[in-house]
Amino acid sequence: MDGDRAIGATYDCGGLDCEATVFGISADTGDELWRFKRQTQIVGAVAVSGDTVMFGTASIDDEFDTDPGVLGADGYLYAIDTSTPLAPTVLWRVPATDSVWGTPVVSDGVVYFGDLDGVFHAVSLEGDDAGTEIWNFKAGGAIVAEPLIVDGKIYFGDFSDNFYALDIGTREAGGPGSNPLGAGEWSFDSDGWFWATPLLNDGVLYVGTLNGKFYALDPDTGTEFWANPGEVDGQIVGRAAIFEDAGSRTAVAVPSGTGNIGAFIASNGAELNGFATDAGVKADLLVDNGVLYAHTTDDDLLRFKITDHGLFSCIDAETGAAC
Amino acid sequence: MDALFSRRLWIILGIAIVAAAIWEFNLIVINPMVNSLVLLDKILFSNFGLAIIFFTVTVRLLMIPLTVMQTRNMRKMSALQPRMKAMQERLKDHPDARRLQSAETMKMYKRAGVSPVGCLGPMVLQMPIWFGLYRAIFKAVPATPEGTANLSAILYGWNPAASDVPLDSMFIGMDLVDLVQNAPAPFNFALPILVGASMWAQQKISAMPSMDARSAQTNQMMLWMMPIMFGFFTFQFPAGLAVYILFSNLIGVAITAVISGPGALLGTRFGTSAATAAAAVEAGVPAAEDENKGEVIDGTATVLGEDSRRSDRQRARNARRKPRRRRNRRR
Repeated sequence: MDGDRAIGATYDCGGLDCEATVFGISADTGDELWRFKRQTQIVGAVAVSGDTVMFGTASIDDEFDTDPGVLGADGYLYAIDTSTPLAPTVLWRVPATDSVWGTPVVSDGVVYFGDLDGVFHAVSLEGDDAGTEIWNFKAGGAIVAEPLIVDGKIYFGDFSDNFYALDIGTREAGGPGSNPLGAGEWSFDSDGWFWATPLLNDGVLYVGTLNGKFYALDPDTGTEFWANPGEVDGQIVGRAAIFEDAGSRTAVAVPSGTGNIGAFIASNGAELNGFATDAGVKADLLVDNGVLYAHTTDDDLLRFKITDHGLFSCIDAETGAAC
Repeated sequence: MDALFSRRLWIILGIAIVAAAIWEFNLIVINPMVNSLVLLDKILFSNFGLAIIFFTVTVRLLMIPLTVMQTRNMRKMSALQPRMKAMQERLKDHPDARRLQSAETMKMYKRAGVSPVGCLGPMVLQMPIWFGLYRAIFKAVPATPEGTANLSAILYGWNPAASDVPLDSMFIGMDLVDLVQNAPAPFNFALPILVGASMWAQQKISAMPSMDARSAQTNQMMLWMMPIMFGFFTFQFPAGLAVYILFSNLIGVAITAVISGPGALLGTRFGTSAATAAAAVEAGVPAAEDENKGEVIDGTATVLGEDSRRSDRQRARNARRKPRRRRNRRR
């Protein structure tokens, strides 16, 4: 959501021929405001800065590629101008060394994103330098997870089982090509790939892996807070959510790609009764006003009371009918 | 006795392996294959095409004992065909023909040391491996982000290549995940032709000569129909699968050629046995002599088992004695 409009991206493939669409719709009426299409895949979500919408793509089918910048790259970060709704135009695009599946994140005039070759990019959004890479960092494996940026630190994980904390100041001082971890930076070696966006709450960084392990880390040093990581049955793809359980203890709900939503006490990782679902949850969880919202892989929207973990509402997301 | 026990043990072991492979197919067959392919990709210069070729060739080489067993059994069965045909002819008018023919057939198999399961068994054992390899290729290079995420559960933690995922699926200008018909020229039409041709060669070199004119005709038709059909199907296959089938066929032809001799491709694998035997059967072999005739015609007594070898030696001794007696009489 961006003010009174919702912006999203989707793609559809017939074999390897893919068509991706980025669209803007009115939040009030649901009417389409604009549409932008390219022959590619857009796996992640979009980032918005004013009228500029940014998204990562795979390679663009050469036959249809008339956009400015480097041709034939394996992936791009696109920036389009949506100020004239009927005809969104490409402002610039930055080539990547491989497809960009992750969601870019904008912070302080810089857009950050990772690619499947394991390169994490920082690209300027401002002035004449807009679309120019400021620095990059080579991680050990593919980067799909959306980064979390808090207090000058960037947190993200990759496919080499590593989770990184990069310091923006250190990176900018080092400039392009300063790969080794520097002052205020660390990496944490887990035993699974990272796909989910991390969550920071009350000085604790929560990160989940695709093999169902869930860690609580010190955001300054990367050391584990819990004696043992929490564990859910399936892959952790969506972002966890913080809630207060019936005993007013801070707890964290963790989506599982195949099973029930797990729950752990934030202070020590002790497992609580989870939230029972009929299908997996690969979307981010949301807690609001005593209710936990979950979107399942069966396309149902579930609502749980966080006090007793009871399901009190199920809506078919496609039809809006009760399920 | 020991040999019998050993054979039974092997059959039981084979059945147990196949059952286990079916029961835990992913765990036992596919996951190790996916890990091997990903590791090979890293070793072979991040080239997934080379990884497929190397892996296919290696698996086929490891299965040579099974292939040899199968080929030997087929050869024995082939050698028995003229005698079996003659026996069937001899007994066809008997009131209890079917039972007698069946009993005689089993006797012939036993005497020649042939096991019908010996032909089928290795093939059955190979089936899960081929099916697994086919699936492993597409699990190693998934076409969707979900498939890539699922790889995390398949790749072993100690696999040093696990962090190299997702792999590059391009190979000499082709995308191995894309359909062959979408590959750039000349691969889009060369691959189907090569797959068809290699399949023809594989069938030709493995085919058993048939005594029956009708089944020989059917075999001949299949020899051409299957490769042509498969060639057309290949247009709809992902290129990686086509590469896998092509190299699997090529190494199959090479292995069979080594086992049976390169003449097999020219239809002379078992010497002139098939043609000569067929001619003999057509001419009508006397029932009392058909066993001897079969062996002499085939010239393959060495593959007919211990009993046959023993009777060969006996006949040879008898043959040497008779002239001597005649000479004695002349004196």
